[in-house]
Amino acid sequence: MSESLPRIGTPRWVKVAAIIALVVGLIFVILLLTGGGAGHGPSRHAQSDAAVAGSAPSVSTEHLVQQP
Amino acid sequence: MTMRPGVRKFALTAHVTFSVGWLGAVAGSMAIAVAAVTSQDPQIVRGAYLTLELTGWYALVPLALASLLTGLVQSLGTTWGLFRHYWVLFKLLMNLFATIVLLLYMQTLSFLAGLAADPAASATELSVLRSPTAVIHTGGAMLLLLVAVILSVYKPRGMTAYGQRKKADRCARQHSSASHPQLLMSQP
Repeated sequence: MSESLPRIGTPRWVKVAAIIALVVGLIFVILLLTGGGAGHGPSRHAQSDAAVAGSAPSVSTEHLVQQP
Repeated sequence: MTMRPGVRKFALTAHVTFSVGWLGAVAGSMAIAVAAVTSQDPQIVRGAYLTLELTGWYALVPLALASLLTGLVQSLGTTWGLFRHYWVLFKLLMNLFATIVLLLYMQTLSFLAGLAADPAASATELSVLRSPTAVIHTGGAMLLLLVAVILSVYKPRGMTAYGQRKKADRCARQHSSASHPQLLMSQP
């Protein structure tokens, strides 16, 4: 019978790893929501390429004309 | 369904090859990403992103998907199972997370490579290429893959509740068939 076997608890390494994963996950979510990392955080993945392009420093047309 | 020993060994060889190959490709990408961030030569920075994009699409992505697929085959085709042992479950979650982040980051990397390939891009525009995102992503991937290698080699103890239940069921079945062999004979 399955009830006759004693149930073994969760090992300590699993608990420690789960806490680390939770902390990393929370940091990830916070960065995603706040757009942290000066535009280079995980929130960047939620944007389209056009939006990513928008995160680059803007360049004036005059400056581009001066380029060879 | 459990695989035969020959097939199991082949599947294991494939999984180790793809997974360690993925780790090697990440290490190479990290070296290129560091060069992109630290180099003062704009041509090296441009070349680094073009190389990173090619490495990403033709090495990292295929190796990541192959590692995930062979890992699934390996766990489902052996007694280890997919959800029975914590170390297997952790590896699955880490592999899935790394693959999803890689596929998302490839969109950013393709944009950056396009910028690097544009001869009309100004120095101001190219400054975005010096952001450390590629180093952060490759560093994170390397850390995850190293943990996966450690888990695979050490196989730390610990069964999930599901694994313990399955094991108890198996023990009960074996016990039952040992004490009542005639029941087995009458089974369809």
